[in-house]
Amino acid sequence: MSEKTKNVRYALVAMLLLFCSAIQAQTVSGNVKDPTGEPIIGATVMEQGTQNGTVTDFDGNFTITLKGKSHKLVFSYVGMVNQTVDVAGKSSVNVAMKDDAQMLDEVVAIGYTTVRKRDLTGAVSQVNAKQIEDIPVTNVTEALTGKMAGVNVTTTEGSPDAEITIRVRGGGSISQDNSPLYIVDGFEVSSINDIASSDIETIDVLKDAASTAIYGARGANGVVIVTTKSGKEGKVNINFNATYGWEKVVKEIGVMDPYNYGVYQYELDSGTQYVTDKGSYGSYSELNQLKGMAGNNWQDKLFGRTGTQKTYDISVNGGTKKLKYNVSYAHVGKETIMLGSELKRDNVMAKLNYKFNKWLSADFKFALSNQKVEGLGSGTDTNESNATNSWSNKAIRYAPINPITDDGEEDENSSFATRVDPYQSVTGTSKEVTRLKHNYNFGLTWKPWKGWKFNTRFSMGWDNKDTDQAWLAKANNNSKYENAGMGLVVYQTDHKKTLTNTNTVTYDAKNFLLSSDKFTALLGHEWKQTKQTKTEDVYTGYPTDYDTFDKLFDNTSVAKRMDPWDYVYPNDRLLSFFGQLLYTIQDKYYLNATLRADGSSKFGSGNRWGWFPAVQVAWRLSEEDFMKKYEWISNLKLRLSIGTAGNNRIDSGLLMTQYERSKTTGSAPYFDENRTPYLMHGEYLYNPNLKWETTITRNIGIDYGFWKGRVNGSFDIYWNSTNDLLMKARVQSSSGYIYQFRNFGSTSNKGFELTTNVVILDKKTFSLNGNFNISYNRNKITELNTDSKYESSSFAGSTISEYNDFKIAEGERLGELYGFLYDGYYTASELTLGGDGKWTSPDDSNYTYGGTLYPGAPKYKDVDGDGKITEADKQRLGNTVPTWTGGFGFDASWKNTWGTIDASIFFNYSLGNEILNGTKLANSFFAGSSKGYNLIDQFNVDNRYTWVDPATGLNLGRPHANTIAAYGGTEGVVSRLNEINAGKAMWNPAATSTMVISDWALEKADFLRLQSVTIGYTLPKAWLKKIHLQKVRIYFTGHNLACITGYKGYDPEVSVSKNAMCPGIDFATYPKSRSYTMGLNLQF
Amino acid sequence: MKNIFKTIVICLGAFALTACSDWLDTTTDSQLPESVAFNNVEDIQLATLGLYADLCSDPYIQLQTIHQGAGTDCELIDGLGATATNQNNERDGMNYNASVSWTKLGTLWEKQYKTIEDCNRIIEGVSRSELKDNDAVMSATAEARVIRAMVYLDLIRVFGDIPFRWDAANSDLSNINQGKTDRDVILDALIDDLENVVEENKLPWCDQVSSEHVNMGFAKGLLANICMTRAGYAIREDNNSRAEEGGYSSSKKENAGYIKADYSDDNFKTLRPSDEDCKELYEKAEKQLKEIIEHGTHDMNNSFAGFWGYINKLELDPTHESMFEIPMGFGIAGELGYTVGVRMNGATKDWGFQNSAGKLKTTAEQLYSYQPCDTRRDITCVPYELKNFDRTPNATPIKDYTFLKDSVVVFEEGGEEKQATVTDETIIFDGEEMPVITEYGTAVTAESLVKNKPFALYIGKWDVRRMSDRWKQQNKSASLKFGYGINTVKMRYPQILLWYAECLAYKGDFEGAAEWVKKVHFRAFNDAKQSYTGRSPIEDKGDFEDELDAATDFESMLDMIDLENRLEFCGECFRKWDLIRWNRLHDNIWAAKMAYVKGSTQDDSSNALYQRKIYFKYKDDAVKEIEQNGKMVKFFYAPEKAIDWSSATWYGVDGTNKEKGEVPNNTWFNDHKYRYASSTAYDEGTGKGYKYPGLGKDNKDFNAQSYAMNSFGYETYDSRELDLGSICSGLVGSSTKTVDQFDEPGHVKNRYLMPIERTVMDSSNKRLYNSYGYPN
Repeated sequence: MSEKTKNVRYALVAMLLLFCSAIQAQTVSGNVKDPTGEPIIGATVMEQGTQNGTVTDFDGNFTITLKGKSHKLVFSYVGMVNQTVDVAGKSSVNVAMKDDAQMLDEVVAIGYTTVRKRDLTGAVSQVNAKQIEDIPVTNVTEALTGKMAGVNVTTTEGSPDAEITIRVRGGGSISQDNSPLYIVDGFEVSSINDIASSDIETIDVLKDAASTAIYGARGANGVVIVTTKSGKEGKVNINFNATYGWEKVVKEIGVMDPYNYGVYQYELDSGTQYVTDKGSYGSYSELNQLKGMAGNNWQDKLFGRTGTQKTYDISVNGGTKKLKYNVSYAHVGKETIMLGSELKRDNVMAKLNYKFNKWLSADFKFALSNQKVEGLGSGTDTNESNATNSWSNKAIRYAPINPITDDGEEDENSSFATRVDPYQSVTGTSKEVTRLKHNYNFGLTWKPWKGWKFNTRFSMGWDNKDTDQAWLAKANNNSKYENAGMGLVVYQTDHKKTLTNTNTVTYDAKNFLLSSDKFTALLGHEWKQTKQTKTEDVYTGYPTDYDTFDKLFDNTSVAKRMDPWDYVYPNDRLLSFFGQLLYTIQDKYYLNATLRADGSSKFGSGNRWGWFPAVQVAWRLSEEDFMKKYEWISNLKLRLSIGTAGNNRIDSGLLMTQYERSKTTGSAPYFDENRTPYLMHGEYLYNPNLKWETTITRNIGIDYGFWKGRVNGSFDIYWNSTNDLLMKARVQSSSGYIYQFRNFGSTSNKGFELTTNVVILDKKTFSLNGNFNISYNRNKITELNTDSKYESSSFAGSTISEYNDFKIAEGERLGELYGFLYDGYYTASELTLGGDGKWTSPDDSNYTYGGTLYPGAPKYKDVDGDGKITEADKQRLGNTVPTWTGGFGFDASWKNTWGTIDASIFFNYSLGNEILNGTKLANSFFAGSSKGYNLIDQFNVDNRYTWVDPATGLNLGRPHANTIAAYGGTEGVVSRLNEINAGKAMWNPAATSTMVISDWALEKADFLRLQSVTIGYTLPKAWLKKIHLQKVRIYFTGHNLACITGYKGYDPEVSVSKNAMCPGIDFATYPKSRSYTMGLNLQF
Repeated sequence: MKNIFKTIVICLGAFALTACSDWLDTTTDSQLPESVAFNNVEDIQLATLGLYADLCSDPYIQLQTIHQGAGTDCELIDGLGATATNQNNERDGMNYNASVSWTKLGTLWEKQYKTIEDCNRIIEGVSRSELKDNDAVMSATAEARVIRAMVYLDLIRVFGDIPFRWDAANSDLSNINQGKTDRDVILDALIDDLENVVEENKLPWCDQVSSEHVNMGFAKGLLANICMTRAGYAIREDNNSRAEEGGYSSSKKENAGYIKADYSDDNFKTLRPSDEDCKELYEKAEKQLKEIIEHGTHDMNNSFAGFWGYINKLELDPTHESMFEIPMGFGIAGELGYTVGVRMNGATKDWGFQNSAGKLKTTAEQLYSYQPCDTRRDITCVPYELKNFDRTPNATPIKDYTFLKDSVVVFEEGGEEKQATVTDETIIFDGEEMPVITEYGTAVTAESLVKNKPFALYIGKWDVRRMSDRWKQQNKSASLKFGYGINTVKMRYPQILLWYAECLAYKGDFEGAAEWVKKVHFRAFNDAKQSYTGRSPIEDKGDFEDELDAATDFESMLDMIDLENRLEFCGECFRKWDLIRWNRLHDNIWAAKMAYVKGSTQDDSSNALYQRKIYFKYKDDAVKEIEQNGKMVKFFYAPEKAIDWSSATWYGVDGTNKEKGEVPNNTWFNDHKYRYASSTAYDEGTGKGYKYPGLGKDNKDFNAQSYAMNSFGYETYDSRELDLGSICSGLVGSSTKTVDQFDEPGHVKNRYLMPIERTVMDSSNKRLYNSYGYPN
C-alpha cells in the first residue's frame, strides 16, 4: 500500500466531511457494524430533522455533535435497513445494521421505468456487476456468454476487436442485422463492446416483445439494457482493479510438411511425362531431402506468439443526500497472439446526480472511450476483394518451401512471383483503427405533485471512427485501388453524431381503484437524429524506396492522391410517442400494457409509422391463500404476454433511384489517362413501398422459487413470428441489379428457456451455488415470396464451384446447407485406361464434379441416377444453426480466519448444428489447377491416393505412352495403381481441380466449453484494518480452457459469412486463444 | 422555478416541432434523385460518363474482350492437356466445355446487364426531362444508345437469345421478370435505334472528340456490324415449347424462310436469314461503311508497328485507326499486356517485375500463315519470352573506360555519325540507354525462345518493350501485379475496310472488294513487291494479289477476307464473331488442327513444314567499338538481347530446305556465322568462329539450347495428341487421329454459345433456361 494512495483516501474523506455542519453542544460517538460484525466504513449518520451528519471512519467509528432537538440519529448504508436510534443523554452508541431484504430484491430496468424483479411481467434475464467482476474480460459482451437462457452470445473469432454477436431467441429477421437494441443508461448505442466492464452495474436483456414493445421500432430482436454504476449515498468507495494475463493459440490446423507438399507438387509437375527429371521441387529421388525439413510453419509465424493483456481501472463513488457521484477510469492494453495485433482502450466516465430540493433533481453523465486497434482482422482486407487471398487463409495454403528456380523458369499459371507469403502480407500492412466515442447525457426530473413525475433527457453522442492503413509495396496485392504492387495509404473516417431527446410524464398512485393496488401510467415522446459522414482519402503509387510505414504516412506528397471522396448520409430520424400502464393488485395480479408509435425517415410517407402494442399479465400464485399450505413453494408466478416490435435496420435512400458521386474505388474511366469522376446510382433496385418489419411475440413464463428460494429460476415458452421481413432479395439479374430490398416473407422462432439457480450449501463458512440454463430455439421460414431458392455463401470466391449452398424456402429452417454427398474415390479398376493415357468410365458415367476422370478422383452420389453429377444431385447436408444452447456453472466460497477463498467454474455449450469446415474444403484439391499451394495434412502421401509409383517416380495417373509401355500395358498400370493405393483413405487432390460443397466438409459443431475457471482469495478484514483497506482480493482466471468437440477446425463457434442467410461457415478465420489472467481487486 | 417552466416550454416546443411529419423527410446533397439529375445538363453528362465506368469493369477488362473472343483457329486460352480440365475457368471454358457453374459467366452477364440498365435509366430519364431536346443532352443519350447496342450485341454473341429490355427497371419487377427474347428481335431493334442515332447526327466524329468516347464513326461501324451479324449464321434453339412460343425455335425460323448451313446440328440448327433479307441488311451495312470511309476521319496508321506503339504507350493514334477504345486506367484496370502479350518470365532487369501471364496464345500454324516479310508476323507471333540470364561474356569486359566517363563520344556507324554519352554505368548510344558490362555475371534481359510449344505462342501486339516510360518506371518499382491501363480497342479501321470489302463482294463487286483487302494487306509490307507467296499450311497460296484477283465469287473472296482478317486481327479477339456469322468457326479450327498434323508429320517430308530445330542469331549490335584518342574501345552492352528473326531458320537451314531434323554441318554454321553447340572461339585471322559475348561460361546447355531450339516439328506425345486434342474440344472433338468432324451422339454440334450461369438462372425463377444441351 503506497503512501500516495493513503493520502488520496484521506483527502477524499476530508472532502466529504466538509458537507457536515458546525459543532454544537451534545457530542455522540460510537461504532457501526454490519450483520457479520465487521465495521462499516462510510455509513451515514444523520441527526434526524436536520442537515447535520457525518460518516463512519475506517473502523466504523463516528463522532457527531448534535444541533437539533430530536436527539435521534439515523444510520444508513447501502443495502442495509435504516436505523433510528434515540441518543438522548447518551454519549456513545453502538449500532449493528441489518441487511435490507427489500433492497436486495433487485431492480430491473424495463423501458422507461424500473420494476422490482419480483414484479416483472415479461421475460427478462439479468447479469449483475458481481458476475462480471469475477471474470475479467476486455469485452463486456464476452462476459455474457452462456449466462442467460435464450441469449446466445457468440464471439465470432479471435481477433482483438472481433464482433461479438448477441442473438436473443434466435433472431427474427433472416437477412437483416439480428442484433438486439442496446440501451445504455436510457439511450440507444450501437454496441456495448467499448464499455469498461468495471463500470457496469447490471445488464438486463428483455426477451419478449411485451417487454420490448416500449422500445417499439427497434426492439424486435430483444433489448439489452446496460446500467452503469452510479454514486451512492453514503461512504466514499474507491475501487481499484488490475489484471495481467497471457494468451496462446488453442489449435493449429495440420498442413502437409515440406516432404508431403513436395511429393504432391511433384505429382502435379510430372503429369503426362515419361521421366520428370526435375519438378519444381527437384526430381523424385531428390524429394527425400525434404524429409524432416521444417519449412515455414506460417500459422506459427503469424499467431504463434504469446499474447498479453493488462487492464486496470479505478473508480471513486459516493455521495450525500444531495449530490451523488461516480467517477471512473479504465484502461485495457492487449497484444493478441496475432503478429502486430494490439488493442488499447481508455474509458473515462463521470456520473453526477444532484437533488436541488424535494421535487427537482438533475443528473449528468459523461462517458468517453478511446480505442485503438492495430493489426489486421481476418477475412478480406480493405484492399482485397476475396478472402482466399487473406493472410488467414494463406496461413494454411501458402507453400511451406519455395520452389527451386535456378534460372527463373516457372510455370506461368502458378507463378510464385505474383504470390506474397502471409508473413509478408501481415508485416507489410499497417492498420490502425481509432475509435473515439463520447457521450453527454443530461436529465431533469420534476415531481411537482405527489405521484407525478416529469422527466426530460437529452443525449448527445459522437462516434468517430478513423482507419489509417498503409501497405508496403510487397503487401499491396490484388488492390482495388490504383497502382497495386506499390505503396498505398488509405485514410477512412466514419463519423456519427447522435442527438436524442426523451420526455416522459409518469403518474404513480397507490390504492388507486382498489385498496392495496398500485397504478403507474407513463406517457412519453422521443426524437432521435443521427448524422453520419464518411470520407476516404487514398494515396497510391509510392516510389519503391518508401519502404517503411512512417515513410508512407509522412510523405503523402510524393504519392498520387486519388480524388478524395466524402459522403453525407441523409439524417436518420426517428420520432416516437409511447404510453405505458402498470397496474398491480395486492402484489398478486399484474397488468402491463404498452403502446408505441414510431415514425422513421427510412420509409416513404405512407409507410412511415409503425404501431407496436403489447400487453402482459402476471399472477403471483404463491401469494394466494390456497397456496400457502405448500410451504416449500416460496415463489410462483405465472406470466403471459403478447406484443409486437419493429425493425427498420436498412440503409436510408432505398426508396428511389438516386445518383451519387463516384468513389475512390470501383471502376472509372480514365479519359486521357485521368480518372474521371461520374455519377452512379445505388447498388440496389429502388423500392418505394418498403415498410416496417414487425415481430409478434407470445410468451408464457413461470418464475419459481422453492425452499425459501434455495432453488429458483424461471421457465419460458415462446413463439415469435416476424412478418414483412425486410430483406435484400435477389432479383433476376438481367435487371441490372442483383438485389432489391423488399418486405417479404415471415419467419417464426419457437422455443423454450429454463434457468435454475440452486443454493447447494449455505453454511456460515462454506457456500456452494450452482446455476444452469438451457434454451431451445427452432427457426422456420413460414412464408417467402422469392424467386430464388438458394443463397450463396461464396465464402472462398471462385475457388469452390457451385455454391447455391443455403436453401431458403418456405417451411425450411434457416441455415439449411445443401451440397453433394461424398462417395469415396475412383479406384483404377473402376475405370478403363486407354492406350492414349486417358481414363474413361466403362459405362460412360462420371460421378466426379465437372472434371476429367482419373483414378483417385472424388466421387459424389448420383442421386437422380443419370450417370452424371449435376445440380439435381444436391442434397440437404445439415443445418448450421444450433438448436440447444446454454451454460452451467458453480461457485463456492470458503470463509476462514485467514481469509475467504472463492472459486467458480463455468461451462457453456451448444448442440444440434453442423459447421461447414471451409478451411478444410478449400485446401483439399488442386484448386483452379494452380500449382504451388499446400493442403491440409489429411492429404499426406501415406493417407491419400497417389499416382506416383514410389519405386520409379513415374506418374501412373496421367501416364505417358512410354510409361504404359514400361508397365507392360494398361493392365500393368492399373494393377500397380491398385497396389500402391491399397487402403488409402483420401482421394488424390491432383485428380480434381474443381471442388464442391459436400458432406465431407460438414462437421458436427456440438461443443462443451470450459469457458472460465476462477479462484480468488480475499484477505480477512481484520488484517486489512491495519492497512486501512476495505477489501483485497487476488484471483486467477483461465478462459476457454478446454472445448470438447468433434469439430476439426479452429473452433466450432464460428460464422464468417456477412450474409445472415448463410450462417455457420468457417473459412479464413482468426484462431481463438486460451487465456490466463491474474488479477487484483482493492477497495479503499 | 422559472427555469423549470423554461424547460417545459422547450420540451413542448421540441414536441410540437418534431410532431410535424416533414421532419421525417430527410435528404442529403450527396444524393441526387433522378428527377433532379435528369434536369441538369451537367448531371446528365456525368451520369453518361458513369457508363464508361461500367465499360471499364470486368467484361471489357477481360471477360468479353479476351476470354469470350478466344477459341478460334488462332486464339487459344491456355487450356492444353492437364489444365484443360477446369470447366469453371476460361482454360477449359473456352475450349467450349464451359460449365454452368463457371462464375465468370455470371459476372459477365450481371455486369453487362448493369450497363444496359444504366443506359436505359439515362435514356428513359432524359425522355421525361425538359432538356430532352438540348443538343448536349441528345449527344449524351446518343452515347448511351450506342453503348447499349454494343453491350446487347456482345451479350447475344456469347449467349444467343437473351432477355431484352428497353426501359428502366421497375421496382415492382413487372418489366424485369422476363424470359428470353428472340435475338433477331433484339438485333432489329438495335438496328432501328442506331439508324435513328445516326440520323439525328448529334454524335461528334473523331476529329472533334477522342476515340475514347463513343463517336459517329464507331456508331456507324457498330450499326454495320450488327446488320452483318443479323445477316449471318447463328445456332438456333431447338423446337422446345418455349422457343416455339417465343418464335425463335429452329422450325419457326425455317418457316420464316431462314436457310440452314451446311455444317449444322440437327436439332439446334445453324441458320441465316433468307437471301432477300440478307441483301437488305448488307445494303444497310454497306451504306454506313461507305460513309465512314468517305468521311475520311479514320485512316490506317502507315505502320502496323506504329499503331501498336500508340496503343502500348497509352496514347491515341492520330490517324484514328482505333475507332473506339475503352478508357482503361493505368495502374488500376486493363488485362491487355498481362493476360495477353509478350511474357516476362520472372522479374527482368530491363523491364522490372514479371507483370504478365500471356494466357492468350496463338499457334505455330498462325506464324506460318504469314508471308516471311509480313511485318505483322513478328509483332503477332512471339515464340519467345523475356527472361533474365546470368550471362558471362567470354570477351574481356570493360574495366578501363573511366577516361570516357561523363563525356560525349562521337563515333561512326554505318556511315552515319552518332553520339554516345558515357556515364557511370550506362552508355547512351544514339538515344538508347545500355548498361556497360563491366564485370562477369551481369544479368541480361533477353529474348529466350520457348521450346516446342506449337500452341502456346505469345501475342506480341502488347509488348512491355513498347510501353511508356511511366509504365517502365512503375513496373521496375512494383513487386506485384498492377493494371496496364491499355485501352480495349473495340473496333479498328481495317475491320471497317474488310467489312466493306465483304459488302461489296456480297453484291458482286469483286474488283472493288479486292481493292480494300489489298489496302489492309499491303500496309503490312514495307514494299508491296515483297508480298510473294507465303507458306500457309492450309494450302500453298500463290501470290496474294493474284489470288485476290482470281476471287470472283463470294465464297472465294470470303476466303481471302477470312485470311486477311486472321493475319490482321489475330490476338485481338475480334475474329470469332466474324467466323461465327460466316459459320466457319468449326471448320477453320478443324483445318488449323489438321494443318498442324499435316505439317508436323515426319514421314511425309514434302509437307514437313514445321522444323524440328530452329537455328537463329541474336542481333549483332551487342558490341560497339569506339575510337577515342587513337585507341579502340570496345563496349559490350546488352549482349544478345534480341533475336534477329530474319536469321531464324523457320523454313529450313538454307532457306529452301524443307527437310526437318537435318542438322547442318559446321561449315554451314561458319559460313552463316551461326553459333553452334561446340562453340569455336572467334579467330581474328580467319574471321570465323564466334566472337560475340554471351557464350556460356562452360559452354553448357546455354548455347546449345538457345541457339538451336527444339521447335514445332519436334514431335512428342504431349504436343500432338494431348494438346491438340484439348484445343476447342467441345466444338471440334478431342480426337486428332481421324479426320472426322465432331459428330458424337449426345453432343450439340457447332455449339459455340456459352451456358447461362447457375446463379443467373436461379435468380430468374425458371424464366430463363439453358439450351443447346447445357444442363439446367
